[in-house]
Amino acid sequence: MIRIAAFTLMFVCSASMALAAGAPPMIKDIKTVSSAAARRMVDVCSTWAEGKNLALAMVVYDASGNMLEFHAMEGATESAIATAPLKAKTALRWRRATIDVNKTVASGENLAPLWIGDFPMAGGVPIMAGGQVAGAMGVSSADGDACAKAAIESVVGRAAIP
Amino acid sequence: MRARILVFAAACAAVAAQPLRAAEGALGEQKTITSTGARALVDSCLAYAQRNNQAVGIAVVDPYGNLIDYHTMSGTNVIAGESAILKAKTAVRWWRSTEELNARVLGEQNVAPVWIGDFPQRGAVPIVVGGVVVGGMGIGGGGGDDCAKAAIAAVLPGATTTVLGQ
Repeated sequence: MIRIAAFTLMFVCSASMALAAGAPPMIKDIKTVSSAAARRMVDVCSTWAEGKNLALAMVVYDASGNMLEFHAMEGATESAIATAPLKAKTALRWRRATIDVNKTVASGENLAPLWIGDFPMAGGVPIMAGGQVAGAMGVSSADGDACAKAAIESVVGRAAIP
Repeated sequence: MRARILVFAAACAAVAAQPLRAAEGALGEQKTITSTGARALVDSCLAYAQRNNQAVGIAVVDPYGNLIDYHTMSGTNVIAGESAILKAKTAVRWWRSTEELNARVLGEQNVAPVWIGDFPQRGAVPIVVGGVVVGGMGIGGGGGDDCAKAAIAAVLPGATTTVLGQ
């Protein structure tokens, strides 16, 4: 009887240890854009836009959707100021550039972004890091997508653009 | 009756014939903080916060409440960033510091800022140049509005954070 009990106890203990060793972690690290990088991306995009005589508004969010950096260039319209954050948030939520989300909406393939109040207009780009979304940049108005991608590539690297 | 109609028609014709004197008030001008000025204010506040070991969110809005420049320092919480913008918008809407608004709300002198969805929490001031509100600056997560006042004094000599008569 004692031998059976001891055997059972050993089995349970070893099973528990095996489970603990292979158990998924309770806490994990996520990558997120830093405050300094956000500022640099906005500066790169501003310089890019100045070279093309564009007056844009631009914003960078962290992985959780918190605004890290915002800048409205002289002459940026109120609609640009209002929509740049919407584009960035949409890109973050859908993990893809809003220029691509826009295509799925415009073609009727997937209207869900509209149903849930997102803003699938070109100009929002997620910032990827090792397969994770580390943040997003939104730029309005004209050529916002190109400006955001130029900034992300310059500061974080080409691999950060999906 | 015919005479009255003629008088009315004559009056209308006289009004319509007056040239639009645009220079006398049809269009006005609003001074506003520039994009460059907003960035300079944020950078100045950023330096102040670093010197004083603060981690803050910093926002500058134009006189209409449009966000012009914004920066969140590393190490701030979510509310610090969000509230900086809300505070700056509240300051330009009321032409007062949010510290003053907060005292009026808590003292029940005027609770309207709460009723209409403003955010009367200490940390923001209007940027006043020549008696005109040209923008607002809000700080979240730090030691009140010291950072904003220091930045405005450094970047815009002669500017104030109060509107005379308010």
